[in-house]
Amino acid sequence: MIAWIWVIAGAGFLFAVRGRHAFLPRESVSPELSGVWREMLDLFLTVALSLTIFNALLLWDRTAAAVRGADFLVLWCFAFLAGRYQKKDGVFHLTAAVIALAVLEAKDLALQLSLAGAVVGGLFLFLTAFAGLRYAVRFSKIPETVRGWPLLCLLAFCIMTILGGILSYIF
Amino acid sequence: MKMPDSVFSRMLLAWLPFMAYAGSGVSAWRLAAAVAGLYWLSLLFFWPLRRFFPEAGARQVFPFWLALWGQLLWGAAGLAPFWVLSVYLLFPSGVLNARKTTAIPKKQPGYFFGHLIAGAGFFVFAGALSSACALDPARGFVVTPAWIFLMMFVAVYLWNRPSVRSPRKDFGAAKKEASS
Repeated sequence: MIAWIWVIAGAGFLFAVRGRHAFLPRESVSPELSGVWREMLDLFLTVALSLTIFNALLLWDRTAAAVRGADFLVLWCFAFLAGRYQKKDGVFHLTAAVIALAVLEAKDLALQLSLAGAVVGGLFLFLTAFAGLRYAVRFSKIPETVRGWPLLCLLAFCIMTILGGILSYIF
Repeated sequence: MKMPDSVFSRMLLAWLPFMAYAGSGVSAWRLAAAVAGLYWLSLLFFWPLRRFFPEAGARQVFPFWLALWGQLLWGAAGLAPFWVLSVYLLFPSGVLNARKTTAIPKKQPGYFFGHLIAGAGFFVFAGALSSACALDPARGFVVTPAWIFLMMFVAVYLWNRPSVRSPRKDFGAAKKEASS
């Protein structure tokens, strides 16, 4: 049984720090919400594509046993190909493969896609809040010792305090 | 502004996939051992062979190598393969860019062993941080992701804490006081 709130917290922080839209190009530019939205849409489509092909291969008797035996490898291959097509990095397609494997615990494809959509939606909320707070923090006087990693962890703490309560009603 | 590719930054990011195992009953020390083991194995595999890969070829092979190991341990030991993401984040990107000779300093004998020791450092770091996060400060306390981030904040703050003020700053402050 996967604890989805933990997955959203961990993957959200990872994307916030290492994702394509992790850092603002210039200090004065406001956060690019559409960039976050596109990134999460790409993630959902990659996961959905991997799951759809995976489930299609399971329907075919000749491939079902092999696909079931190498589920993570197969999902990673599809996520990798989709990620390469979109010129994404390793964090993106490994995360997509891991999320696709995790949602396989749901029974059918519709439930798996719904679960993937809910997880990616949670990630989108986390990243949006993170980008907004990071932008707002630029205008406050933060001590030098708290800047960098400590500030990022503190922002994630603030977001998860609120988001954790909201997500606990969904998952 | 971009995060430096320091060992500490990599270790902190590499610990994040451990969150996916919350409530699964998997020991954090076992996970950390798996990550450190594959990290060392990857170093021993890619370090001598890095020059035989075509330009940027090692970067493409490395995720496949991780997925393969994730699948093998998923089948053999039942360990869900979220941990391969930790190895990916922990692995120094300079080793995979070895065709560009500037990425790896040639005349540094400790460079390779420094990366090997980073694996042991991650094992201790991940195990200790996971143990600290599992502490129950009060009865009935439920560990949440927010609590984990607070623990990470404390750990990172203590790591970055300046032990003494630099003499340059003290000199600047004294100068300011004198002028006022």
